[in-house]
Amino acid sequence: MTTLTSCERVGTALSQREGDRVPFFLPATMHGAAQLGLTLPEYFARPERVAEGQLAMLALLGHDFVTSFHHAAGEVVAFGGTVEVHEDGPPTPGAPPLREQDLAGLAPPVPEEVAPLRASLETLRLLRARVGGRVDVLGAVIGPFSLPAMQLGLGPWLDLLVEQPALAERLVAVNAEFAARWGAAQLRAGATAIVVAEPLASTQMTPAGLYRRLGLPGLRALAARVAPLVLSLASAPAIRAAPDLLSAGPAGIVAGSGESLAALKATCRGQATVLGGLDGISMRHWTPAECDRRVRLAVGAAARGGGFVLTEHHGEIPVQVPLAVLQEVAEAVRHHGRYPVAPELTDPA
Amino acid sequence: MDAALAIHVFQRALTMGDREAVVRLVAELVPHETRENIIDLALVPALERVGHLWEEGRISLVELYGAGRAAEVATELLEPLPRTRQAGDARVAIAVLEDQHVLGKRLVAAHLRAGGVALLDLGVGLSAPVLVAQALEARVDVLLVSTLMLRGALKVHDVVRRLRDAGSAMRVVVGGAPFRLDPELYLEVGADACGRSAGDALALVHRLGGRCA
Repeated sequence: MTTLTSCERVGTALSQREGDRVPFFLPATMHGAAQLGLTLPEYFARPERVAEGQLAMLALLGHDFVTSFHHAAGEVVAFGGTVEVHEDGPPTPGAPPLREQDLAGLAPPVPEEVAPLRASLETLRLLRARVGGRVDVLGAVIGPFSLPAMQLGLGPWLDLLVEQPALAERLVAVNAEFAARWGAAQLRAGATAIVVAEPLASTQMTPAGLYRRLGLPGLRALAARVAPLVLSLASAPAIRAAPDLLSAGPAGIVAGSGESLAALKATCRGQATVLGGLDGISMRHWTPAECDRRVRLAVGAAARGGGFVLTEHHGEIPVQVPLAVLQEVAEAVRHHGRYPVAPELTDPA
Repeated sequence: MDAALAIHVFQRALTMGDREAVVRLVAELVPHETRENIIDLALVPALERVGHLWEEGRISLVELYGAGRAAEVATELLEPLPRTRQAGDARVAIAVLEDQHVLGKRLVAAHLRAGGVALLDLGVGLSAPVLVAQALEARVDVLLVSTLMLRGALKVHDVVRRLRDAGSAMRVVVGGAPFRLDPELYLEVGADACGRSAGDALALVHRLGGRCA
């Protein structure tokens, strides 16, 4: 088959067909800093540096996406939070900015008025200008049901869910409006899809009935205004929540760490593409043989017939993962990910 | 006390996060049982079962957290009762390293306090030097360290190094998402043990620090 552009390859996978090879994305959101000779605080201080870092990763890895995602802490700033920068990891949120008594009068912020989000938008525009039409540019939003874990702290959020469901419902509604504004702003700036990080939608985190009642309405409201949308549960299992999540109409769902790709693909068949297959935490120690084995397993489990994108589960590969490992993984995908899938991959026996 | 029945009823109340039911159960048991019997024969086994249900993916974090909160209520109710067992001398402390997420610490603390461990809370968002200074000053024997991100988990190595440089034999137990995702990570950072869920904490503290209730 003729070699496709990344956009064509991804489009083929999303339409549940086989292209030239499995599309893949290694979300190395921090490795670009070292390529530019910068510390992580220096790197995240300027949107053009993050864009250059993403382009460096694109050139080194040859994967099929770039992302404008800086860090999860930016969205908490919109609600009065702070960002702590580190030399050896992503910026993290400071103490949760909201208290229960703040929620009744809480209004959704305007993303363009928030400095870290403006920086992400600028990165997005730069990336779009450089690779648009050839490579997909991913934006990102924290899900309306999970953002409270950073707004209030996870414990107070779980207390609120159980003890004051009406107030929890209100917070999710405010967050859904904010997420819709933030996602739409990224689409306007050139994102071709928005990744929604909603780990608390997993049944590992929240009972299905509780999520259905208090979380799913927010996701549906977001999905009605932001598309295409890919749901990530940030390494948590997706399969038991998948029927509810699919009702919001996502283009894709990211599998959890260790979760059966084949089972999730069967659940999502005809409705959404499955993404995943790689674990960023253990990746630090992968040998070339292990890189090869992991890619073979993932391709064998989920690639046949399209509808699969190989990626890391959490959405942010730790900076401690050696670049050489990412390059080995990329090489393994180019080798084993070619369509048609080699029979020995789908039939290990 | 019919221990099996008490465990079953406690487990049911804890899993549902039903604090009113927990209060009723404790009130029913208190006139007939010692504090230690209620803890050892009913509350702790019930909490351990809840922990196993979480490990097996049969209950959610919301339910596990609700169980921890309900156990806190039971512990507070039992606290005024006289102790029939002599307290051990192990000093146990808990902290969150390099992060603001307190849920894991709170769950572990609920399990340990329910198990009769007098726990020193050193706080959240601590750097390795600050945590080590506090732990050394408090003459801690078993230090429980909770982390959320890989970055924080790797800082445990710095904690252990600083403790050993100071000549301390303090035992370090770690927990949190990075350690669940990479079972070998606790060895890499030099910790003495790793808890995969809050339900592991009591047994680990007893193993490393001796009986402390």
